[in-house]
Amino acid sequence: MLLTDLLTPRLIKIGLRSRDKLGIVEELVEILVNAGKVADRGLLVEATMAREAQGSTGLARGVAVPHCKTDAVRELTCSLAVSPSDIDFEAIDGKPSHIFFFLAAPPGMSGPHVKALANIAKLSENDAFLDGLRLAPTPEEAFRIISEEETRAD
Amino acid sequence: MANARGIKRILVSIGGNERSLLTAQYAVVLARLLDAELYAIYVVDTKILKDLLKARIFIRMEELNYARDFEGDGKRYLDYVRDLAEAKGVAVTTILEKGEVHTLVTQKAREIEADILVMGELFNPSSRRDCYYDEGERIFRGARCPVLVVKGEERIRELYEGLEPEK
Repeated sequence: MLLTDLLTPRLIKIGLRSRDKLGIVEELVEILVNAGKVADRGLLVEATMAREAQGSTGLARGVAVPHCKTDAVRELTCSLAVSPSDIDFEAIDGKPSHIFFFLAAPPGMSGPHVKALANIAKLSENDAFLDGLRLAPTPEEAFRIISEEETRAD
Repeated sequence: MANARGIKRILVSIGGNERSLLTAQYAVVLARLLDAELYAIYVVDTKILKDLLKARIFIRMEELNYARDFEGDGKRYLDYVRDLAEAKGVAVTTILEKGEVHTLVTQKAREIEADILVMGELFNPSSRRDCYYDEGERIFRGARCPVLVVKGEERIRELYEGLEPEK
């Protein structure tokens, strides 16, 4: 499951207003709400924060992957936000987070959900890719960087 | 006469998608026409879940939760394959395994001495990397017996529907 199958420039946001975990999650959800992909906004925020309460999805290298399985969405959905500023997302390496991949899936879509998460995990191992994404000036450029990385011939 | 009856055992690999049910229909047709034993395998991909746990994207509870979901999917798919086979008077042995998909499918093919491994159409790889890591590709390349990749939805439905219900 490629990220470019789930994302469009409209589902990518460069720059975030919030500095705390709840605010970031709300902004990620808002992207999906604006794209008409959410059935229940409150439930989506709640489910995501409930998952975060069990263990932060802030990974190393400035990447966070908040996600949840919930009836608040009708299909597997993804949004991406990039923050030039440092965000404390309780990352496992204690460092600030800058890139936030958000995934939500309804209960019956475990297979594609897991494959999408696995793809994010694979992409997140590439420092050059992450550097490019962090510096992307526009959603279009961020999308192009992801697309290029996913089709890279190696 | 040395003919297609030399094909005694067919193993069909069932994935977690609707397309693999079409693959199963074709395997049922083959098994019936060749009078071969039919085996259907579904592998719960626990490796991908363990990898997500290792990457710290999953917590242990999620790994278990998704493994349970996958196992439920596997049982449903295999039940459906059984229904498809029985509707055409073909007996099928269903196998549910957990682990790395391509390893277990090719291993099972060797274990039952499958004469043909039937699998669904391969996805178009978006990169060379996909060719190495896609489970379907790895089954195709790793199998030691002939592999039949099923294509052509309409024709398969015709063949399956055209088969008399009982022998």
